[in-house]
Amino acid sequence: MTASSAARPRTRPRFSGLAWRRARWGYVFIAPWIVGFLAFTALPMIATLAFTFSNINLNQAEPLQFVGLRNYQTLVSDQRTWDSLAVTLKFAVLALPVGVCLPFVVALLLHSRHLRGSGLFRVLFFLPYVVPFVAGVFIWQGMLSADTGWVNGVLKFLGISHPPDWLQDPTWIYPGLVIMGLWGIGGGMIIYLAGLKGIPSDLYEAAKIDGAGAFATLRHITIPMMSPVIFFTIVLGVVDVLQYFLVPLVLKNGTGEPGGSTNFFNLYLYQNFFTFQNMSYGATLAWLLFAISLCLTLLLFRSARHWVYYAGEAR
Amino acid sequence: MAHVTAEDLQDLTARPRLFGRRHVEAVGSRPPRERGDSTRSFVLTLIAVLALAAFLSPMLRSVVYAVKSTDQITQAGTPLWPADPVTFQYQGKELPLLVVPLPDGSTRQLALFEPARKSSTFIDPAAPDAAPITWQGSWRTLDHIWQFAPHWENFAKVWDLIDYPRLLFNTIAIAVISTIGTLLSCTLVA
Repeated sequence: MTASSAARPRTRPRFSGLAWRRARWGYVFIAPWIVGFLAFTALPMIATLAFTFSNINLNQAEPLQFVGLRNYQTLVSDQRTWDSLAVTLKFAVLALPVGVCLPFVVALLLHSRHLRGSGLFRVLFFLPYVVPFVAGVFIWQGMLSADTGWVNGVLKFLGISHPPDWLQDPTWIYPGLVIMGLWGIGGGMIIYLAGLKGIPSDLYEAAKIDGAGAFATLRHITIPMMSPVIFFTIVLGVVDVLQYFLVPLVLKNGTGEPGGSTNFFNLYLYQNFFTFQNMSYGATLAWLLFAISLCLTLLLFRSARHWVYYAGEAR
Repeated sequence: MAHVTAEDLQDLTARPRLFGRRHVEAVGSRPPRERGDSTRSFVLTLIAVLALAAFLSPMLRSVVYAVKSTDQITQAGTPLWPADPVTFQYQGKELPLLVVPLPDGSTRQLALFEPARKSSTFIDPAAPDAAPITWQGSWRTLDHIWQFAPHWENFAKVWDLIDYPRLLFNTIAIAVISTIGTLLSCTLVA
């Protein structure tokens, strides 16, 4: 063993005395992070993986034992899991495009050279981002209320006699939740703005000389140059939307009303952990979510080769 | 320094790196403004103002609701602004003033004296000693008269209801500690 590994050419030379002494301080400096990562991320993850093969339930004093794949069998046959996953996906189909595109549109607007007072607009569009989460949910709950909400007030003013009951109707709850999420566009907007500022102006000048209009410039310069930022936002958006459950938890107290339409996957996971106190099954659900997130992210990275343009990258 | 190779020359003439050092001056600069853009500026700024108004309107609503009375919030058909129904003192009682359409086609502001489902009696505030006026119809369909009345005492109520200084201290403690922790650990890593 030792001989064969020594015979193979090393791809990376072993640290010499000097290199090790140099690197040592690097490791000392990142030690707080490594300790934190091991203690608060890696260890709990391994622990939950171990949970999935056991029967930890804080409500029932069953003796702790290894149950093999029983939790995974329950997972496959549990209709509530797949229903809640469907709810999350239904919401994601609506929320993700809005969450990716709307901040982009607002950032384009704020970056336009035709906009006066863009600094002030930037501050004001970012402002709701700092509103405390629960306060924001309650403010929007009032705003979307069927009778006294201003949204329906405007709709009635525009001549719609029966505007939707946003938060009580199983069909309209998803658009309602997306509207509630609008106050979160500030973060994406800032990232897009930073990206837009990084596009060299000579590209725009060249496009102008070539006779490109506003739409052609957007299509052939802004969007390709912004593709890494858009990609980043999509990846984060996918991960976030899969974990979405806090708004329904605050809004509906985790009941899943109306008609089970807010039984999000993560809400079910949360209930398994903290309401039913079934740690093992909760951990199994968490690992399912992790697997789904991982698959989607990997797929996105695969697709990125075809549409994301990195300026520094050799093609 | 005469060791300029062909590679170096090629590097100099190569396509400029987009985020490289050579183009630092271009990064972040906006294209210069041109003449004839003022109409576009106006339209675009107007769109931004309208979008912003819709975007921030929930905040305005929450500010207005903060100074509304509980009665006004729970009732339907009240004004958008914080207001109380105007009342009229009659025999030691507070009677609400309503807009009453009378049979002769005129409308008058009358105080509701004895509410009932089918017909109610009203007092004319201008002539409180006159006999009560009987009006046919459901008084609930009538509009109240409102006066502007911000309820600033809502803030005092909240102050009594929760231990605000304590909660504020908790929040600040979390914010300060986590910011210090982030700064320390991140600068060490960087």
